[in-house]
Amino acid sequence: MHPATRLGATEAFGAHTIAMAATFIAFGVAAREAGFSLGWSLTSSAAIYGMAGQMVLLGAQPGAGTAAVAGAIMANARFMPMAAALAPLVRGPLAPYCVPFVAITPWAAAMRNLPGMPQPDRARWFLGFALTVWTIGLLTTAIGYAVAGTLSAPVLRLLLMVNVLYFALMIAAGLSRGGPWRASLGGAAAVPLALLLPAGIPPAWGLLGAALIGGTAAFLLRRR
Amino acid sequence: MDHGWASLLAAALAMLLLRATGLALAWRLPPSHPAIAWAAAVSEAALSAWVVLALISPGTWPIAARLAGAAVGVGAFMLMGRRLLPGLAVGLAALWTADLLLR
Repeated sequence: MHPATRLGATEAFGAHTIAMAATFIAFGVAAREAGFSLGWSLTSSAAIYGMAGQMVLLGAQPGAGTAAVAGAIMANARFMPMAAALAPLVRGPLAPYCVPFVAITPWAAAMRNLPGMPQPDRARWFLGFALTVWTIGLLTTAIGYAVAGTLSAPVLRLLLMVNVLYFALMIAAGLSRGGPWRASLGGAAAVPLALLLPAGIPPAWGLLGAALIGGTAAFLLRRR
Repeated sequence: MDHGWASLLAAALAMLLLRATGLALAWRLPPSHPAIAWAAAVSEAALSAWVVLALISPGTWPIAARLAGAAVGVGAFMLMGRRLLPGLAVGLAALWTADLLLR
């Protein structure tokens, strides 16, 4: 194994992955309670690999499949700009292999670590890191599915808040290091627009709108 | 659950297209290109909007308990040298405590 790949795989074992694992355990529990099979749950974690969209897709009950798919796409639409932001860092023949693993945990780690690495090592590091956390996501989905029904309701409720707090801390960490505070603030400030959506429109549309408006405003202010 | 599989496969294909499109658009652009800067700003905004929506939308926890948990968690995180797991643990404990106090 290339040293950069091994380094990425090693660095994947950290607090961020423990927090991510908790959200996949909670997903496994929720998927089983919603009536989906273990194969469906694992395929969702493997191919959707984005918790917001995965949770929305649990609404794919009879008659609601199209809405659930549209909602999941909106909830995970940030994958496109995230991939665009990552692309220059992993440019090269290995870049196409990085595509399925663009998700919050590997992306955030890559944006922090890759700029300080030699260009030839970056895609290898990303693949080592991303394959490791993706595999952990699958394993913890299966664990959650297996233990569903044995967890008390309060524990399950707490598990479902882990990812919210986790990402709040990631944003706080970025801001304290002089990160993209305008964009983070812009997204948060645009949330009231999402709350003004008429009843019946999936909240995922509001999320996409807040991201586009808040992020574009932050970008324009930065360019002035 | 056949309908569930059809939805899952459609969503999985869409996710792959989203990611591949982002990569293809940026394939030949430098990291400093305005389009990349805009994409990064939108993705950062999406993350913070998602967190804020999760904190203030109706759900299984009272909004006040969620906000208290997040505030205490972030505070503990900063005070403890930006260590993720202690920040998470304190935030979840604060959420649980606030929920008990609000009942």
